[in-house]
Amino acid sequence: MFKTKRNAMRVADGDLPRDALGAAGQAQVAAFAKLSAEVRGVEAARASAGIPDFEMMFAGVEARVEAERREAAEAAQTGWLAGVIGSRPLWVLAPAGAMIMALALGWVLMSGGEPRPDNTCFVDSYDADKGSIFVDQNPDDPAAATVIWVVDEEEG
Amino acid sequence: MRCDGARVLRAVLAWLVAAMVVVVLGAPATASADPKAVVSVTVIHAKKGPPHLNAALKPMWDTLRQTFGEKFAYYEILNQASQKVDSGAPVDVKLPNGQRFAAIYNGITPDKGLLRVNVEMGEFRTKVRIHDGGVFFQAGQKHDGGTLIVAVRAMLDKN
Repeated sequence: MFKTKRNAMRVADGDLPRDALGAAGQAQVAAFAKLSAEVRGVEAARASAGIPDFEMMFAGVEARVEAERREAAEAAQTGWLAGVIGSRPLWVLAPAGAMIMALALGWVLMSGGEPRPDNTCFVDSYDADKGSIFVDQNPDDPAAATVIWVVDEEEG
Repeated sequence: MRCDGARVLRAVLAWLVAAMVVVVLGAPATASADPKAVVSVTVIHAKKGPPHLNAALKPMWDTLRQTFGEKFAYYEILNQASQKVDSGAPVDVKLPNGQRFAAIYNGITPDKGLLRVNVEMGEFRTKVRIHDGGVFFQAGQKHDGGTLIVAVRAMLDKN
């Protein structure tokens, strides 16, 4: 007879020798061996039923971590920019795109293509013996040129 | 009699001194005479009809479009002249009817540096002031189903 069940389990598992066991000890070991066989049977049944195996899951996680570490190392070797973009593409490309858009907008607004000429014209005097004279100008738009119309009254 | 002679002498001396002062003070004014300017006069035949723009008018297209809008679609150059001139010198072109059109650069204003330009065309006269590089138009004369537009541009000579 065993003092603790633990020793009986160890004998059933083969960790301790079976020598010098009494009948009660043999029965106790046999009971644990049977229990162990039943547990293994249940485990095998779960595995065949597709129940996830935690050991396989952890192996997969470790493989994925290793793959990411390898990808990061390769990206770092191809260049810091490619590495940065490769690791966090959205964090890099979104601000860069916004900056390019802002620069383009600023360039368009600031330059406005070619500089607009200042065609402001101050008409100090005009005189004609015949016909009519009209001064056509837009004081709100310096780029618009002044037109001094001289129209013969006969022509209308 | 002696007193009169001295008075005359003093008067003559005073005139001489005044003349010298005028000469001395006038010298810088002569030295800082108005700079030369490049005056360009372009006679344009404008009319409605199929769109047309003389290639030489492309630099002026924005101004033409802004100024005349939908009035005209056809722009052709009939005559043009461009000269570097001193103040007071005219730049002449002949209009299709044989009339003389003259743009006369008359120096710059002392305060804002605007270019003074006079225009003479037949009995018509006008005086304007424009910015360096600015352009203005004289228009209204009928020609070949359209209108004559004379563009006058003046810019200071930078050389």
